Amino acid sequence: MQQGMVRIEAGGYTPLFRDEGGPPFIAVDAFLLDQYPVTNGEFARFVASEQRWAPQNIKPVFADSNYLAQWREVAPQGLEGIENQPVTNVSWFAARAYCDWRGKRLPNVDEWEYVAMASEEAPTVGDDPDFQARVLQWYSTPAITRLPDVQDTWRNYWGVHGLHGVVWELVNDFNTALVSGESRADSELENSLFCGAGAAAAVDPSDYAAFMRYAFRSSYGARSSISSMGFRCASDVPGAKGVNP
Amino acid sequence: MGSVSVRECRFTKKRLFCSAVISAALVAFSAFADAELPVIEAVLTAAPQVPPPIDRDHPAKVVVSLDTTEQVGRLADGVEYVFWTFGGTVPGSFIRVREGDLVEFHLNNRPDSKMPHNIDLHAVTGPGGGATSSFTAPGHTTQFSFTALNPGLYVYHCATAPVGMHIANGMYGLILVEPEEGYPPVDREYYVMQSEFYTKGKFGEEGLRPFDMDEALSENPDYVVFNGSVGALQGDNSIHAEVGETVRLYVGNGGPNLVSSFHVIGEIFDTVYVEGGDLVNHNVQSTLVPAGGSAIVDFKVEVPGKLHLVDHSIFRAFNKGALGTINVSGDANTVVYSGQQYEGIYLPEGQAEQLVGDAHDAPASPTATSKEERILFGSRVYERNCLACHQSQGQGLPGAFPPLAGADYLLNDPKHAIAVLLEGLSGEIEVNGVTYNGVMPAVRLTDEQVANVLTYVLNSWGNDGGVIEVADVAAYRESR
Amino acid sequence: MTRESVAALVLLLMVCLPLTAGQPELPDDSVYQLGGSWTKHNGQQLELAELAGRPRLVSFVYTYCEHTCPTIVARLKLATDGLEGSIADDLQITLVSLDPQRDTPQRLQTYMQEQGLDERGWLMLHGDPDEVLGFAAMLGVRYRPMGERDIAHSNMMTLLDGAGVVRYQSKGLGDDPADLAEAISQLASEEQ
Repeated sequence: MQQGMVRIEAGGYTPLFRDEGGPPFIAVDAFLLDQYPVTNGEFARFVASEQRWAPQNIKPVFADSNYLAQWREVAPQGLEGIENQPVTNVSWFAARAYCDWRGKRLPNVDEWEYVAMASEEAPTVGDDPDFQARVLQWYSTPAITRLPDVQDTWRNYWGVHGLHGVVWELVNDFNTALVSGESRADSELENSLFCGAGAAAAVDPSDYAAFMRYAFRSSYGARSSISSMGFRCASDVPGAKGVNP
Repeated sequence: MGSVSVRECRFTKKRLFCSAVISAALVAFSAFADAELPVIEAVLTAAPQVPPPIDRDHPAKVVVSLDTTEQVGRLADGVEYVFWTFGGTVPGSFIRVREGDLVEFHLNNRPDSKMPHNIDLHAVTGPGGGATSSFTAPGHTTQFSFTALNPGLYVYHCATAPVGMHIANGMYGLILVEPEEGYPPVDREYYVMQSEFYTKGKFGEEGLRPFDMDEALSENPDYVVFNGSVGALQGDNSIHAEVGETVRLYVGNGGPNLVSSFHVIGEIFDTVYVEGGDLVNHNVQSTLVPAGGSAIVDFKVEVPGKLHLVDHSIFRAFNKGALGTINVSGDANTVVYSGQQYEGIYLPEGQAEQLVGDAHDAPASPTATSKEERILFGSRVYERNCLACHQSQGQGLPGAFPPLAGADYLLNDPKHAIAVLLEGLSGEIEVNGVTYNGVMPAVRLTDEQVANVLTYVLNSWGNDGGVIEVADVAAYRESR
Repeated sequence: MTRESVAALVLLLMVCLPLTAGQPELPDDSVYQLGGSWTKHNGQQLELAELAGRPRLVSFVYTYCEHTCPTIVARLKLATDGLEGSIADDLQITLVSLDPQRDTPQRLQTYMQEQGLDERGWLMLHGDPDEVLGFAAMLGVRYRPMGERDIAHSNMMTLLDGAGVVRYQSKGLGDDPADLAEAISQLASEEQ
């Protein structure tokens, strides 16, 4: 196992939207996930090696102008003070390139949501209202300007730190969220915008935290760099069934 | 009535016009209009202020630029809440345009926002009211344009999932589309918007209070307020008018759940543009403002003093915050309103029977001298105290109040009924195999009345008889 | 060489570059910056950057699709049917398959024949799932498998100029076809 990764055992979760006729439960194979979100320091080493991803070199098709904006603020001092904080303002393209460089990949939605169900004590919290309330409360708190160092973040059952309460996290297949921006109609595909039949029904309409993640994923594009969005990498477990997105 | 029919004619004319040319010409029109129209930066105001009336006699391209923010603010004294806003305030900035204007809308989501946001303006004719075109990630901006086809006062709000929560956190405001001919001029205009807040903790409980999902689902808010917080329209924040002036309130209701019975204590609305549209009503005391709806109310203030804005669903006003004040200054007009002219003692003829605190001292009721009399007197006690719930034939109300007729719970131990009458009863009981879980309050009766009413019940509707004596009741009281 | 003639040469180069064979320097905002390897419907390998040189109308579909894909293909036909001048020859409609597993290059070839799509005007691409995801993300296309057989996806049509720069995007079938036509004729006038 790569250093800094933890093994997530096979399991599954109930997705927010259940496709008509689709399974109510999505199985997830065992995989490896970074224990911590990728930090500014780690990302700086990547950029030093792969210069095309440096803020001054990146092509506009791969990131918008917010790309690594936090580095500009601390530029004269290097990355002092933010080195161990989660890297934010990274685009999906850049995050993907980073994971590739590390011989890993971005986790997919199913994997991320499955791990996100874990509390401190259990891999799946079920209907624990306290846990849901805690997660929801973070979502409804304004973004903080000073992020914590990744080591200081909340740790869940799997030993994964900072999955909730620090930054939003990119996933590989973010563009599976088929929305028009018109959230009230999103349970049915907008036929003029999307090709496809049938509706997807929200399994638990009161799972506001999941709705927020879904809405967030559908709000950004592959170039978007957002100050509250970071990422971590995953990789397959050798021998486990493939979990390609 | 005259003015109404004029509006209808004009409206009908416009409809005809629209249906004839809209599909063919609209694209060309907007392209043309875009090039030709003068460009104006919209004036945006925070409640209770309203941008000045529009004095243009021609359409313009109006550029509106609105930020979405997430910030901690005051909900009540000592109570803070994380508000999500349009323009940094709750309610959001008031937008004022003219019928036929081309509105170029820029939605800017601040970089420190955690949520994506969008905007659904009820004044927009188009998918999602603009929501589809304005879905904006944090640190980004989007732009769309629409032509303000229909005049009126419209709510706008965020429509990003979970929609209810975005609205509950404060993302709503008003956009006024003035009719081409404008509204009749008034001396003062104000912006008032009602909404509810659902917090963990009770009304007034201090500290930073997070959103409470369960309360929102059950539509049971801790706060119902005007202009985003308790007291936003009171004390130093009261709005003002002079005697003799006309006042117009642009009233909106952001919800997310409740309908407002909007009322100004001590005023009658001379004119109401019902639901913010073309229908005009006069001499209205309270007007309904739907969640996601509006009303325009005009009135002339005739006398000085404080006028109180309330939601006349009145517990919201006095227990949840839905109160505002208009301070009217100027000279008194005693013809319109005299003020108090006399205060004294009122002694009506034939003193009314007095209710007293202790049932033991209640005025004497007739004393029964036989079982028949007990039943007769008891029937009167029953009618006054029991019938509303247990019904005229003792049949009760299924699901709510248990029957007394043929009721095993009662008949198996009639003396237990004395305790029930005197002590009340709460919690689950089973009557004839059916479970009831309600509350019966203690009934304030004399021993005589208790004996009478129970004897009546035991001998009515097929119940198999028996007598409760005054001594039985007294014995129970002794035993307590 | 005079300053004027240098300027003229530069201008000539700028105009001609996208049309010349070989690998011209791609502009920074070209979607072909993405790179990646693909297979054409005829089985030939192709680097993404080799798509430069001709303007393209790009859509993502899958051949077993029974919903709006046929409408998209019909729309694309309509958009290009009446074209005149060099743009009619240059513009190539490019369909990227969202279903690499079932849409083998052979299957794409068959589909082209069934639909009567000529090789000069149409190109279908097969790529591995990761490449498809990257290209779709680049163009803002969203898609998701639904059930066993279907893939729900955006009905987008993207007009790229010869250098791979996005010139117009029709987000859905509700958009006015006239806007696409106008964008194409604008591109045509620049190529003259």
